Amino acid sequence: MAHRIGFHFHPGSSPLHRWDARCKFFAMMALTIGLFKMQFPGLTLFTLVMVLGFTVSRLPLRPFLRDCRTWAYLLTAIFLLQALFHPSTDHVWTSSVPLTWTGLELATLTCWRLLLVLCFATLFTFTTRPKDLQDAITWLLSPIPFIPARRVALMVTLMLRFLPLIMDQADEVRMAMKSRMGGDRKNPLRKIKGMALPIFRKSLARADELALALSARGYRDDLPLRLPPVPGKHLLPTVALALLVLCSTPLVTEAIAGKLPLWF
Amino acid sequence: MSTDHLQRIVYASLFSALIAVGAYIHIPMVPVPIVLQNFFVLLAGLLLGSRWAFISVCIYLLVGALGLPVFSGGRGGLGHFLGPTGGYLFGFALSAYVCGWISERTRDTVMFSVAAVTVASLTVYAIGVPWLKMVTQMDWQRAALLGMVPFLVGDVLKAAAAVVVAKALRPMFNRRLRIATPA
Repeated sequence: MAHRIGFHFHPGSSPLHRWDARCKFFAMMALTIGLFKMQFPGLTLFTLVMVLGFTVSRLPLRPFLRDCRTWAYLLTAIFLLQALFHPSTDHVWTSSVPLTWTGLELATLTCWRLLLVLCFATLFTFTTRPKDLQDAITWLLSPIPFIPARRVALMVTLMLRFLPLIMDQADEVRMAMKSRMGGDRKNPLRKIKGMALPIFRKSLARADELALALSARGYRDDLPLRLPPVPGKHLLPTVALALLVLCSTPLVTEAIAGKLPLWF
Repeated sequence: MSTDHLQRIVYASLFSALIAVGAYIHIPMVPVPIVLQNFFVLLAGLLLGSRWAFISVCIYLLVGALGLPVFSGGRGGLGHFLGPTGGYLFGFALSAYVCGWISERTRDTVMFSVAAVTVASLTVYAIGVPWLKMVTQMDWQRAALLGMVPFLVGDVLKAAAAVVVAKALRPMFNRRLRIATPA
């Protein structure tokens, strides 16, 4: 069983849990597209939205913060790369230290956006039942010809199921390597092999169990999808969120402020 | 649906997840840190074969396109396909197919595996670098310097590791999938 919160469903009865998965899906898509266009005011607003989402869904904060450690390394690396190697000349101290105000601003924006995307994705997987997610993807893909929507949806759900499990296994292997001084190895090839082989063996065993369980339950992907139409009250928050995203992106705010024509 | 077919579906999904996890695993290296993403793409090609490796990468790309942060650096969203690194994403799918295609048609030896991962690794750049050049309006030299040269050392190591790990895993993999390996 996975110990982490990221990409993992947790049963609950919060309004976010009850929100139709299809609507949640579109809200998530709007958010991920919009967040990468937003500046500081928009990001502040959506940080508040995210805090509200966390509170409403009753997401346990302690395991979530533990998960954040994995992302912290990644975000620190991205922050340093962006802040230190920006070509601008407005240096914070002296020209010998390659840290510029523009670089700092850009790095802060990038990391803030990434952290928000990660938080919203966590919130999405935390509150969406895998079965609902599978149905939502099937519903989304069924109009596209030549794509086996149900099979693709199953694969996406399985992939999301495997993600936290593999991450847990990677943590276990990393700790086991560390305790055996494996982290001190200088040869990167041995490092990769030492990490990948045990993760792989464990994951493969898990995959076999899953395939057998699907087969035992008589899985078929030619069954028609029977989903009720999207309820209006579920659609409302999606539309509201999409409008909020749209209003928080610079193009629309500039158009409203009169800097750009509205038909731009 | 037969158990064999379901097993392939589950394995392909597993590889999609591994590719996504690979985007989060950083191994510190000079000049740039190694991300294990394309290591798993190559491994998918070597172990799953062309068709399922291609499907596996497509599922990974679909999940990323839907907005989940599975791309390198915790990114996600449809916009990334049109950005400067979009070519590398499409390149991954073709790379997995090419790697699988070569390994399916050749004998199971280290030499042929090396050939498969080399051609597959170059396939990523064959799409990624022109895409980078086109989107950023850079000249060829600068595009190659930014989008290929810093990653070559890491790529050689990842390709070598993919061959070593695939060799270690193939007997177990084939036994499970009941694939008749080429004589």
